[in-house]
Amino acid sequence: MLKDDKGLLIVQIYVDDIVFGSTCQEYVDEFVESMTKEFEMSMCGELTYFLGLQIKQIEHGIFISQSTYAKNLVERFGLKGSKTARTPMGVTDKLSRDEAGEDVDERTYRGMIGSLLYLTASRPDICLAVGVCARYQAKPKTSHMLAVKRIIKYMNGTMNLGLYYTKDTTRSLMGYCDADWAGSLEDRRSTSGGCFFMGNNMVSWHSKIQNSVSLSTAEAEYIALGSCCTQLMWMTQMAEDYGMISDSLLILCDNQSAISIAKNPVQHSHTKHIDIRHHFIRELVEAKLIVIDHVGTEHQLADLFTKPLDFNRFISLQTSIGVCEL
Amino acid sequence: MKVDYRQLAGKRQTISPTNTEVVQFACFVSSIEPKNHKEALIDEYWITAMQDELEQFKHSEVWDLTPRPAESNVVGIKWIFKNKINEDGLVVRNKARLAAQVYSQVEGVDFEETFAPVARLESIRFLFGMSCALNFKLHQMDVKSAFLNGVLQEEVYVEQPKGFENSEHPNYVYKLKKALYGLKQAPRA
Repeated sequence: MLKDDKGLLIVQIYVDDIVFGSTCQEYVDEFVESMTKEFEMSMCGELTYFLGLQIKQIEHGIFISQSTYAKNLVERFGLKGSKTARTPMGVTDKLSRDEAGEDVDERTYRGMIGSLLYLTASRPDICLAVGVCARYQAKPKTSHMLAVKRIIKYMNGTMNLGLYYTKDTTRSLMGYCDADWAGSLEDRRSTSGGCFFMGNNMVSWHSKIQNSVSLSTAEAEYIALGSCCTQLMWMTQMAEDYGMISDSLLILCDNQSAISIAKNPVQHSHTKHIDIRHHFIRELVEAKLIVIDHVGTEHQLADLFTKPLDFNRFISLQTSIGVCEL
Repeated sequence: MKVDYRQLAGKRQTISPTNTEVVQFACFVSSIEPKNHKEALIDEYWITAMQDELEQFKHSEVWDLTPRPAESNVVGIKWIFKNKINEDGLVVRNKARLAAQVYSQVEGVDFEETFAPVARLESIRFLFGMSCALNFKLHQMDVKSAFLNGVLQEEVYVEQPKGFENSEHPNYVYKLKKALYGLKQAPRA
C-alpha cells in the first residue's frame, strides 16, 4: 500500500497472482514497470478472473460471480436436468442428527459441501443452508443428502447470480447482527448471523452456531453482537491498513434487551452468568468505538444468515444485500 | 464427457473451422495430456513444452549440476503435464512442469516447517469494496513460475529430469538454488 497526496496504490498478492489498483494512473504504470523489471510477469490487464471468481468491472460497479463453477458443480453431481428449487432451504426444514436414517456416502457428501462452500465466496444467499448441512459431515444420512441436493437444485436455477458492488457508495463500515435462539434441535444452541457493509456494498458475512447454550433470546443476540464486533474491528483494521480512517462503527441489532445489556455495564441476575469474553462489547461501546442501534425486523438483513426464509422474504433480502444477475 | 486420451494420442483434435481463434489454438497445442514422460516424448508439442520449462529453469538459475552427494537425501523429480483450458473449454496451452516428489523429503533434513501465506477471500472482497468506494479500476498480473523465484535456505538435491539427462554426467544430481514445485518449501519461498 502506498499513499500520498497524489493518490493511493493498493496491491494484494495471492501467491503468484497480484491484484492492484490505484486512484492515480501514473502509479499503476510505475508499479507495472518496476514489477516487470524484477520478475518475469505475464497476463497484465484489467482484472477479470481471480481465484475462480469471474469479475466484471463496469461503469457503475463491479460484478463478481462464479457461474462457470456453479454450472460445472451442478453437472458434476448429476442434477442438471432436475427441477429447480426457489430457495436453498425449506422454511420448516429442521435438520437433526437423524440417528435412525440411512447412511449415505461420506465422500460424495463432503465433496458436495466442499464445492458449495467455495461457491459462497460470491453467493452469500446459500451461506446459511450450506453451513447447516456442513454440520452433519461426520455421519451424513439420507435426510441431509436431500437438503444438500436442494441447495444444488436451487443453484441450478440461479447460476448466473452474483454479487454486485455499486460505486454509488460511502466508505463507512456497518454491520447487521442477528441470532436464531435455540435453533439447533440437538443441543439447543443458537446460530449467530451477521453481514457487514462498506457503504452500500456487503463485503463480509458469517453464519455460525454459537459455542454455548443461551438461556434467552437476548443472551443469544448479545453473543452474536460480540462476534459482529470482532468482525467489524477486523474490517476497521483492514481499512486503516489501506489508509482509510473510519469514524465510529454502527451495528444494527433487532433485539432491544441485547442492546441494553451492551450499553449498560451493570450486572443483572439475568446476565451475570454470561461469559466474560462476550462483555468486551461494553468496553467498545463505552469508548464510543462502536454504536449499537435498533433495527426493525423487516429491515434486518442478517435474517438471511440465521434462519430459513419463505420465498418472498428471501428474494427481498437477497436483493438488499446485492445478490443479483447482471 | 470422459475421453480416453491414449486412444486420442497421436491424433490432432478436429474442430470445425467456424472460429479463426479456435483453429489457431488447435494448430499450436496438443489436446492430449500425457500420463508420463514417455508418452510426452513422442509428441512434438509436449517436447517443446518441456524444453520451455527447462529453459525457464536455466533462465532463473534454479539449479547446478553436481556429483551425487554421499550423505544427502536426493529427492525424486517428475514431469507433470497439464493442459490449460480457457473459459470456453478449449485447450490454449500445454504446460509441462517439473515437480519434486515430496514423499521422499524428510522432515528436519530436507525441510523444517511448512505453510503457505495466502490472502482470505474476504480481504479480496474488501478490496473490491474499496475500489468501488474510491472509484478506481483494478488490474491483475501474475508472476511467471512464481515458485522459481524463491531462494532456498536448506540444501536440497534432486535427480535429473527423465528424458533430459545430461549425457556426460548421467549420474550427477542437481543442487537446488531455488524452490521447485512440490517441495515442502515451495509455498513460502
